[in-house]
Amino acid sequence: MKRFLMVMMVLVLGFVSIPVSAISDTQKESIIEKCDNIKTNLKTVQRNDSRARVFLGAYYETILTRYITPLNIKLVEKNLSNAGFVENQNGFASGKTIFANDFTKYQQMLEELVAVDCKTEPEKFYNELVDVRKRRKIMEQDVLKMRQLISEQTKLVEGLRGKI
Amino acid sequence: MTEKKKRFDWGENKGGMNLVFLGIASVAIAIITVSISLIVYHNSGDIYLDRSRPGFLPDEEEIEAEEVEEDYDFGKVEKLDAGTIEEYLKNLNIEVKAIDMYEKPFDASVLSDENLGISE
Repeated sequence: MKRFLMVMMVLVLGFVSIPVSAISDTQKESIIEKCDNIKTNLKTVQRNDSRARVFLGAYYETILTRYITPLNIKLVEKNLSNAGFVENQNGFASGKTIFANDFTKYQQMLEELVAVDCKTEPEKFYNELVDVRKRRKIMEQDVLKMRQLISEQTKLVEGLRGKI
Repeated sequence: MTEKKKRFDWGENKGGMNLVFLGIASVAIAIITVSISLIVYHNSGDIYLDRSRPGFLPDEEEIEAEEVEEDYDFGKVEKLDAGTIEEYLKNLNIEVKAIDMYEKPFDASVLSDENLGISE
């Protein structure tokens, strides 16, 4: 029984401690060979993403401060506000903050990925790339969420037609 | 009088002249190194990373589309009636179109093996 438990412990610890590499030999060779090109591509992605962040961030700010918030203030003054408008404003404000924070995390991870020497550490590089992809997916979802909130705002305002 | 004159004779007073040259050289080196680091900072793309953080504003050329309706602010609208609501929707639609024109921001495929040049 003791021997069985020890074997099980070794197996479990082995699974936990040894990182499972998702990288194939072909990928490893390709990363080593094209390391410089891959890094150049990543830096281009980094620049384009920063531009997207600045561009979208500016629009989100405009929509919140020049559209959603002032309209809600006027609706409250006229007793026309409802839970939908308040919910949308809160969701948009927190979504904007989440978008900014997620981008900072994503860019930090991308920065760390670019710093990894892919010629000597292709596996580490690929594992970090997989993590950055997951972070990028979160960014994509954040953008979709913000777009959805803008559509909801449009629908809510369209619903005011005939009431004012 | 002659002695006093000698004190300000740069040809004779090499220490003073060297000090002036040292000062000029230091300023010149500082200007050159700062310029080089600013060029590297801009060309490396780090400037975009820093500017993308909260509180920083985009370049003028990056907000060209927004400038079209920059003046519209519902906070400045005094009345709340059918007309102002239609105006609100019209202007909001312009902002939405500008956002939608930015094709697939943070698209997952950009970091795929294929796009990065990694053979599978």
